[in-house]
Amino acid sequence: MVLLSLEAVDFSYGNSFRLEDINLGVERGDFIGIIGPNGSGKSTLIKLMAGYLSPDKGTVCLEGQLLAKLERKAVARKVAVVSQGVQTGFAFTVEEMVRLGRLPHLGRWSNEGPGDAAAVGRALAQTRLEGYRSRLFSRLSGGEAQRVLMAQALAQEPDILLLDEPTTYMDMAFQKEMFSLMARLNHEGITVVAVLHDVNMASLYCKELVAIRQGRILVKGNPGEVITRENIEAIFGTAVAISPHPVTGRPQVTMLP
Amino acid sequence: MKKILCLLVVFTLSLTGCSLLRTSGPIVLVDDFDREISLEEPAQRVISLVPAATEMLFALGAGDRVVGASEYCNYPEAALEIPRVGGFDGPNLEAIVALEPDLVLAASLHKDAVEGLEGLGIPVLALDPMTLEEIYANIELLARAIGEDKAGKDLVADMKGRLEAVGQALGQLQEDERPLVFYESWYPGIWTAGEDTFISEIITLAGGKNIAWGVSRWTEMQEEDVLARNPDVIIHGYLDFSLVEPFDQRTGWDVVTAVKEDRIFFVDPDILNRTGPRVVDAVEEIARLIHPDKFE
Amino acid sequence: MQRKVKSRAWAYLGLALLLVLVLFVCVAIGSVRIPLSALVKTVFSPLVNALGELFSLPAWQDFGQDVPDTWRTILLRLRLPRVAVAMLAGVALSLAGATMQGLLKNPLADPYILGVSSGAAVGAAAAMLMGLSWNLLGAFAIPAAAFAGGIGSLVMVYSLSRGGGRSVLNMLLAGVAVSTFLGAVLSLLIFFSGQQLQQVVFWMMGGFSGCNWFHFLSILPFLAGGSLVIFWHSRELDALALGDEQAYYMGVDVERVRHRLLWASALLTASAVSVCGLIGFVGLVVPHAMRLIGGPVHRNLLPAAALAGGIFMAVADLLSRVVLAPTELPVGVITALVGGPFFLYLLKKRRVS
Repeated sequence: MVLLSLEAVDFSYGNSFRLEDINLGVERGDFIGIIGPNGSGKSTLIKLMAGYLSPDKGTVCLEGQLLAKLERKAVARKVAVVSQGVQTGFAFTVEEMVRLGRLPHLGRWSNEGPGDAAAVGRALAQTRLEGYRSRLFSRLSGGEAQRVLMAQALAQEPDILLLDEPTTYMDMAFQKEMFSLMARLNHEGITVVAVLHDVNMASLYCKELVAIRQGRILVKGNPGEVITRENIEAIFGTAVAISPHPVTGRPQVTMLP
Repeated sequence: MKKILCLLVVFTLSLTGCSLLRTSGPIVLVDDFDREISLEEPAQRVISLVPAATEMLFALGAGDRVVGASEYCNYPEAALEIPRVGGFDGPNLEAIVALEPDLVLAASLHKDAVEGLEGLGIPVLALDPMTLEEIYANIELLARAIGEDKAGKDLVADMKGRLEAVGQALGQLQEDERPLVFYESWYPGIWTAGEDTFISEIITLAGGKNIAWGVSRWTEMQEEDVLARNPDVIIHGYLDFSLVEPFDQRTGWDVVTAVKEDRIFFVDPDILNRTGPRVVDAVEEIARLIHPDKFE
Repeated sequence: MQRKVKSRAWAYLGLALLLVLVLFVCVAIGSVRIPLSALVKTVFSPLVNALGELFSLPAWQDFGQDVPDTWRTILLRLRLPRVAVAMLAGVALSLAGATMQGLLKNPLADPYILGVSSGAAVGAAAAMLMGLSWNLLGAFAIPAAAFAGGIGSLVMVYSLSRGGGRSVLNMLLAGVAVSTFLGAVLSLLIFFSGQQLQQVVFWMMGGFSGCNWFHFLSILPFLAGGSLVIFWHSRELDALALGDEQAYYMGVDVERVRHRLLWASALLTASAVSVCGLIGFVGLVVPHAMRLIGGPVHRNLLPAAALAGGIFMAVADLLSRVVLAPTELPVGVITALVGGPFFLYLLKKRRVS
């Protein structure tokens, strides 16, 4: 079943940048990695999928209904986004940040109930942030802050999780943990779409990859189909060698000197 | 402190003034800010930035020597014909210089202009009278500046004589024969004249007692104090009648005797608030208002 | 978490009790010395008299009849409404400040930042210049004109910032532009006014002298409506503090919510300004102080800021009445004098901890 679909989507920021003729269907249970060089339009694609940007042409639909026509809270109960570079001048604690994720589930005057507290606890546990509850969000490192935003998105209990380079500021161990978490969530039934800059990790974890270059989808398919020497050289414009991963056999990219 | 200085100035002037002026040498004047000004000749072309000073010059019979005046100089009627050299936004230095004055009269609020004029070599006399005595001293100071000492002394003597007459009409007043007077210059935010102002002096001379005891200078007084001190008479002497909220519509003022008995008077603010010769008119008018029985 | 909720409830209760206590103290103390017994008699005499009437107890019927009329008037018709209006204005400015700070993601924003104050000043000055004082519309002309001016200025800011997606930065810039422009208009009005000049200046200094139940009742509906809208959106305010995009992802209809909150806080500001002129610092310091003490979550912050704003303003007004009695100090001097150092103290304490 198609959960989120983009059909013939065109989008441009003024004259400088555009996405053209994007067709993409996200089905329930998918784990899609979006790869491509810097400036190819990956983050813009996430913003279009979340409805924050509206396409100039074409349609974006959630469960068959036009995303722009749906009520914001209803959308936020289904789609959560982990974006980059959220900053605030206010001294929110980690727990307060994560509890904010419950916003789409709460009525205007209602208090948070045990269900909300449980969701927050779960999100904190999944992101290994239990010990961070009363730490100030603004004082965290980049990687920690990204985990908090992940937890906030998880507290929304979404069907689809859209992530924009969630591992940018993380060291290797946390990167791996983040990918494991995404895989685990996906296994539990959450549909995951992530913009990823690390092609090899994407190949290891994602079920499907979408490669973008200059605002167009160049190729999509499973990692074996997408990560070929021709494709990678066409996408990134640099010479590479492809070899199977020693343990899983998934294709891995090696730079040539 | 300033008051003491001014009194000293007045005192020394009264001692030394005569002898200095009889000689043909320069006229040396000390103004209310203790500045010394010397004039070669009695001033013939005077610019007055102060309505009260304009009135003084006319009262001294020297109205024809006033070649420039402020927007606010509206008395006597002849003053309206004088070229204007500035209003609310301050004196216009170019206009002043163009009129080639040999003396400019300023008040404390013209500090910047005073410095500018001095820089241009135009003598400035700054006036800042706080009491009736200082108004008399100002009149005599101006009289000397224009070389009309005698006119000054006569004017002061005339003013004193008229006040004397008011005093005689009132007779010896016991403390309880003096109605409590509340002078209002603003509402809401009740602005009044404190016990150390010449307004207070005027009220006393007119046979009343200013209720603003404990209040100094022109300032905001509290409504509840006005109500608790319960004035017998209210004098509004600042705003246009139409701009003042009617007293019987003000919350709580119905407990005030003056409001109950409708003894509320509007006095021409130009007479009451100007530190010029017409303060005597103010005393006469207020005395008649609060002691009508003594002036039948 | 349970314990935290409990202690927060105690904090609100404490603030509410303090508010009542402050109301009582501010009515009890003033320039005119009135014994406490007179206050107690004045407050309880209607009840006791009625009971005395009912059970024909002569002693109860006479209760409080010995309080002089003047004292009764001062207590019930001058001080009580004045303190009540001060509290309302404090609540309004503090809530509006908290909202503006959240909306603009700037902890140092104040209710006047988008030009509501200059608009209100122009409105009031125009009314004074046209002599709309007492003859035409009665006591309401100036407050009504100030209110209209304040709202008008926000309309200007709002329409000017439309280009470029009405971002926070656009709005701040439009606010600066409109404030500057209206400031010039005000100067022009003052230039052409004669005697009314002082009226404008006094009005701008702000204060609660002459406030009565009329004023109280005239701002109450705006305060109630505005606060309701703001409390209604307290969670959205948290989300907006993280930026428009993040708020959007959390299910906030950013444009619409911001629109509502802006109007609500402009309504609060304009209603406060219309009765008490421009009083600075309250809308900046109180919400900020409450945020430093209790954290930035608006569901906690807003009620605390409202109560603390009411308390702060009433106390500032009390000080303005008693410090130099029988002279009255401008209340803005007190708010700045007390608020400034307190603010610095909080900032410093925060940095150390």
